[in-house]
Amino acid sequence: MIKNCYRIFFVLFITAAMLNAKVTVKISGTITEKTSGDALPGANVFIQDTFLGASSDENGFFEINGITPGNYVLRVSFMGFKPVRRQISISPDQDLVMNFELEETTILTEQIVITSSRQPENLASAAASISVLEKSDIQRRNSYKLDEALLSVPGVTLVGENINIRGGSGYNRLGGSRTLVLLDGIPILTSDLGAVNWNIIPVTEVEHMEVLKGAASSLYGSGAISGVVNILTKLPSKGHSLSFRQSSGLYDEPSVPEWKWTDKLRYFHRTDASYSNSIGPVGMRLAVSHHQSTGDRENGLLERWYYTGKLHWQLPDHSTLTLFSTYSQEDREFFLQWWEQDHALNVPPPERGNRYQLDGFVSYAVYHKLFSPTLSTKLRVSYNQQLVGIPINVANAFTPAIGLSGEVQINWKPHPNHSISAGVDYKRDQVESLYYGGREANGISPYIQEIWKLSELLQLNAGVRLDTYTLVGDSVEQQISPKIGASWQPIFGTIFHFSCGRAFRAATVVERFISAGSKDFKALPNPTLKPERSALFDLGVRQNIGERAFAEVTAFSADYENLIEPVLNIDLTAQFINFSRARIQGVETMFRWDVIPQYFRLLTTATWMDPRDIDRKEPLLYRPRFIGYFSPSLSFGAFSLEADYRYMSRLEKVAVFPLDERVPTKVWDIRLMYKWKNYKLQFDIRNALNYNYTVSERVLGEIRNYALTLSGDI
Amino acid sequence: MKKILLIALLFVSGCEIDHGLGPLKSRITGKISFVNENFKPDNIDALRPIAVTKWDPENFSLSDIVIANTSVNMSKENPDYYIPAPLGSYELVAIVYRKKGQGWNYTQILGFYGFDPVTYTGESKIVTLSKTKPIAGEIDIVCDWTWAVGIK
Repeated sequence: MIKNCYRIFFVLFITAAMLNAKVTVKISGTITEKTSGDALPGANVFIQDTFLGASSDENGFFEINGITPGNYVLRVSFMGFKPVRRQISISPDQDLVMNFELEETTILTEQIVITSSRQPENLASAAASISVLEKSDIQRRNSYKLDEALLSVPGVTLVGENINIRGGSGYNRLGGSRTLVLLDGIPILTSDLGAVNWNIIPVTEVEHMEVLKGAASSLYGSGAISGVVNILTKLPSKGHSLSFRQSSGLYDEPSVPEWKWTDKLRYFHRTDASYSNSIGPVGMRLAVSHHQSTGDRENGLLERWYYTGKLHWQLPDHSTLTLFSTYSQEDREFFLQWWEQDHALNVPPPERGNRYQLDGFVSYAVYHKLFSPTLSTKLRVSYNQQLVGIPINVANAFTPAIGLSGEVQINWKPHPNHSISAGVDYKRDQVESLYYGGREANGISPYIQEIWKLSELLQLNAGVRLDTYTLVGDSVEQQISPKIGASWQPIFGTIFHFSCGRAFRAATVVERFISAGSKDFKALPNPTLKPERSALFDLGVRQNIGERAFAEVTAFSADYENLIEPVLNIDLTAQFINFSRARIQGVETMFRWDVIPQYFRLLTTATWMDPRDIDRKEPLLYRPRFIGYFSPSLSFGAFSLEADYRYMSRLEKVAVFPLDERVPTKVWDIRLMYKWKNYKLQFDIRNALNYNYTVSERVLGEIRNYALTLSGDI
Repeated sequence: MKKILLIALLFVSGCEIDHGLGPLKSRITGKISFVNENFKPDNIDALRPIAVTKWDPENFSLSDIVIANTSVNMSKENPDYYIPAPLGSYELVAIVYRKKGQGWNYTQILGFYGFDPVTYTGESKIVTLSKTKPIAGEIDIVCDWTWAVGIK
């Protein structure tokens, strides 16, 4: 079966590559920031009503190939900058060089996103609720884990290691993720647990992240039940580019003297380096990172390595071939829960020194072929191998879970007002463990999606996907996931958007078949688990307020059926079962204000939710009612002073230790930055008030720590 | 401007910093004594104290239990025990046992507060932890080894 798939892909690759090119020209140039003259990497350059476009590299350079002579509108856009549109006239055999200077702004601007409809789309007019986290946001916060970087996105929070979009996930240590995570559009959930390995790629290799909220199975299938996070990696640069980040820091003493458990210094080092260059039509990018920490608690030792490589080949017929691989290895001690609340930074004595390894490898090849400015195709094959790093793997009872996938997608604009994406996804999972035996599964999923511009002010979206998932020798599941949406701009600066759809998540192999146990705990299988289903609806408005402020308010409602949650019985056996019905309704807000242009800015987000278990008439497990984020930033020439405040209300209901004291999360991070040419020196204080809260039951959040970071591009 | 700064400084200095969670000041402590030592089975692996907010032997839920993370020292004649427990009332304070090679089962009770081994009677006594009295001491428990072998 696998061989046949590879053969089909190979034939398609060759066929596409053999098509002859027409007489075409290219447009190239640089995109810089108007006031400072700094390069703007990641800006989008697109030719309107076509699929022709590019993103700027590390040096702000862009190049669009394969343009046939004619008259076009060129659009340059970047989040946080005023867009530029230019009429251009292309003559045969005359390449164009065009440079652009973009001006900063806080109001809603044009930004190209690709996650909401699997084709380039303007964020401002997208029907779906989607947020973008730019590289500059990630860098400023000096994040070193991808899930932490997402905490400034409206409606997003972390409960334990589970990312929650509008409260969709809750907390489910061994259960599958209800947020689908993609790496450059490729699903990277593990094939056994259906979990996310957030450490698969270093944060420094991320160009930006797109967070699609709501039902997304109509585009991405199983797992996208409450949303999608698409991690988009950096492209190789045209010229030499060497980037580095060196961060070292110390953990403070705990604010509770009784919790002090060692006199030794607790510290961390994080080193990230990357090199990028192009030789002729081939661009390449290599990166290596090493993170090491003693941790702030007992069993806190951590050592992590990342190796990442990307090749981007501009083929003579204006098609492109991208090859990417990333490997990460983590060796760490494990802190499952505290010994007791009087020793909150210690593990129970029998667990001292428990450690495990986590390995992840993801590789893909993507071939893009542009047949004409309005017809393009994408062929992709990928390989995802993950060795789980959960505590029950102390006995090394797992082998790496392997996921193979492939995709053929066609994007077609039959008319300037219609844009269609259609394709087929294929996936194959292979997993093996002492706890659930050997399992194999295949999935094949055709989908189609259309964006229909009824006018410049009104746009409709519709899509549907059929997923067929076969667990070899066991069962066959079929799910149809439709979605519709619209956006309407009644006046300039005001855009209403709405979307509704259905989504699902198939039970993972672990949820259905795990049979494992220790002295204290035993997991029982439940082969009859049904898939979870959700129906989601959201309605919002994006509003520019004058020239210096922007707000977005979205109301949402999500109904869940057959939620898969673990239950813990009195004899300490646990099993995943289907809960019947749940509903999460709420309002999400975001407000950005340039209070004093270039000097003082504010960003604030707030989300209110009512997560209910409908049948039991009680709050849903592990969901907060309110999450908020507040971030003021001051700039004085080369200096900047910024703060982030994160708030999450107390979890109303938890499963394992409900009688334990629980408090809201209230964390201040403060940073001072100094920028000189291409270098930046940054001093961070995380958890500045040394506030104590739990990230999951009986696990404290990180205590106050200080970090000094030097980063730059050579 | 100076006045504003001064007022701000006074305001900040007057504020208490909220540090969130702290050590748990409330607890139940006592001593354990054992009776019928000659019936002690060889297959008892560990003992743990528990406190239960709502005690209904027919409908016993994990969400009603506070479990000590530290096992009782069985080699001592009268070991001390303590359960760090949030403020509230506990209908049952008991010692549970685990058999070798098996998991914890919190219905396997070896003794509870209120049990009188002389008259062989007793009802579980309620223990209350309040703000004014966060530590309940001398909550002594008598454990009867015959309960572990199912004789009585």
